[in-house]
Amino acid sequence: MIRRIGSRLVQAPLILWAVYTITFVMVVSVPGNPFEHEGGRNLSPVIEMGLRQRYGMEDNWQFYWRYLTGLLHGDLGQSLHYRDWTCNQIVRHSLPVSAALGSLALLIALFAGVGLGVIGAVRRHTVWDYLTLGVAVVGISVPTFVIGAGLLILLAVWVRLFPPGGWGTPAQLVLPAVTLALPFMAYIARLTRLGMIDVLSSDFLRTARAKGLSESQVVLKHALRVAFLPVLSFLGPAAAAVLTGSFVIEKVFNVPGLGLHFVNGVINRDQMLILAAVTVYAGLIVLFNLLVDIAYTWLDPRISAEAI
Amino acid sequence: MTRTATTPALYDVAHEARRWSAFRRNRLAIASLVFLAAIVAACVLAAAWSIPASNDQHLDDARTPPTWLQPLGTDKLGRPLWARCLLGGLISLGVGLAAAAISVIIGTGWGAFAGLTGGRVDAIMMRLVDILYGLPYILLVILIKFAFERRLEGVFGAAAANVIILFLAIGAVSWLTMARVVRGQVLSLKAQPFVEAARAGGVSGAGIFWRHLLPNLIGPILVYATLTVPQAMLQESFLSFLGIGIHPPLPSWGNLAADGLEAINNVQSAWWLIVFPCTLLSATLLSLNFIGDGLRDAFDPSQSG
Repeated sequence: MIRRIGSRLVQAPLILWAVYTITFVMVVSVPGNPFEHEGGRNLSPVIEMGLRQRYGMEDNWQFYWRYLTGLLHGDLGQSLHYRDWTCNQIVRHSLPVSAALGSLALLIALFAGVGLGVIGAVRRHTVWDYLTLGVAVVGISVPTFVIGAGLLILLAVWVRLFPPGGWGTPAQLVLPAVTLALPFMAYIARLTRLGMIDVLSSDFLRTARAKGLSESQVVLKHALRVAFLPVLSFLGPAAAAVLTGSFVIEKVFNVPGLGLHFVNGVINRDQMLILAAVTVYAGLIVLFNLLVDIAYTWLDPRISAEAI
Repeated sequence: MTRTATTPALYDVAHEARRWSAFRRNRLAIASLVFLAAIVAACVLAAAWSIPASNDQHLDDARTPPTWLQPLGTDKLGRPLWARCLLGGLISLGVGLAAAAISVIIGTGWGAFAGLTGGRVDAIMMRLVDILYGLPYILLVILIKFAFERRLEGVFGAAAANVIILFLAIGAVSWLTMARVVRGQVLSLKAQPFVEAARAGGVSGAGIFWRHLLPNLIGPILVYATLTVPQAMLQESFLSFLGIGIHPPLPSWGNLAADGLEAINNVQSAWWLIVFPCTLLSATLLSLNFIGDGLRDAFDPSQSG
């Protein structure tokens, strides 16, 4: 177990370095000049050189190493489009917003998804089961912006139960978090249901029932612990997808998160902001996968037994 | 060497027929297939009218609700929504199909190579797939599109480059599941006696792959390709919705939905602008998923639930 986590710890900086390098190559291989504005006049070479010098971008090698050493010191660079903002400031303002939205969505997805999956598996071939499957199919197929738009029109424009967008109050958090959670909830419900159906017929549960445990204890204490493992390994990629899935949600509900800044960075060809956002995302995702690995070895007795 | 009979051991006509009949009994999947065929037919057959009409602006008739003359209403520039929805559907479906085709090629190649080679190469290749699984692919799609679109513009022109780079980028990141499935199948097929017999008979590695393994891989490849199409369409619609996918004036269901959302406010709501593209997109994605699930249940019972 320690070896497994140790090897992941060694891999983590390598993955981050690879992500940074690939992103860098893509960012600098875009033809054209990042300092020229849409439809603006051409910059004179002298001015452009001065601007490049100011941002440490005279040539690509220098830019690559300077930005990398900056990253090691926690410096994400200076935004090219928002001239009076550093990328650190932008991230500091917008990351907490995305993180709050994402973690709330993940919590909703986890609890509702596991709940639905368990109900579907225990009450198999009943209305509850079909409801679970229906939610799962809709959640996986229908794009979140469609669901978000539907909720927005229904609960914010017609009924006016929730504010239609913005950020700052708890009420403004509800609709975006629920919308963002839905596809993940659907997938988790499907995984839990399948895992539970598998586990419920296994021998060790027969033993648990035979020793006189109540059905709810059997299901919630013994079966769920095993059926939860596939859900747990899904949580790593899910956390990554929640972060990027929130791009769309942030646009629908006008939430000032990091996703919106990344998308604007791409549209504005703000090379620094793109590098900063991708690095931050990759760091978070690597961290999350590591946490899931640790939780996995802790929950699954088979993995820790192997290592002994 | 010449072979007179190339009948792979696992291929069994009766078995195959049973699988298709299992699929045909799945009413939801068949209904989805009919619906999808209707949508595709409408988008393709109407292309001759929808392409010119989709950018036909009449500013006096902006935002007219659905009438007999304009069955789906008009948008903020007075362009007929029916034409934009049909052309948008053609683009969305085309991008989804092309991206799925690319992911099939990469995924099959990668998975088959890893599975056939085995050993250290296999371990490294699949570990790479694991790592890529953990990274947010949509970031990569955006970066690929950002990096290469302008280069393609010089070759194909702006509109064509926009569509081409989009399916190339989506296809380039959505082959991971395909690679895993194909590798698993190759590993289990490799251990079969008929492969050993072919190898003993002196068939080369490539020959074994093309004549003995590929025919047995078609089933799972078909199933996962069907499930990749809605995934690719979903990604296209996300990007277009964000304004970094299909660029206007070219429509796609994603950017039509984004335009529609803009038109919703408390003062006046042009509901048709958001309802029609969203319904078409959702119904198409649902039916594609139902077809994929139906095929998977029929052809790959171990994966069904």
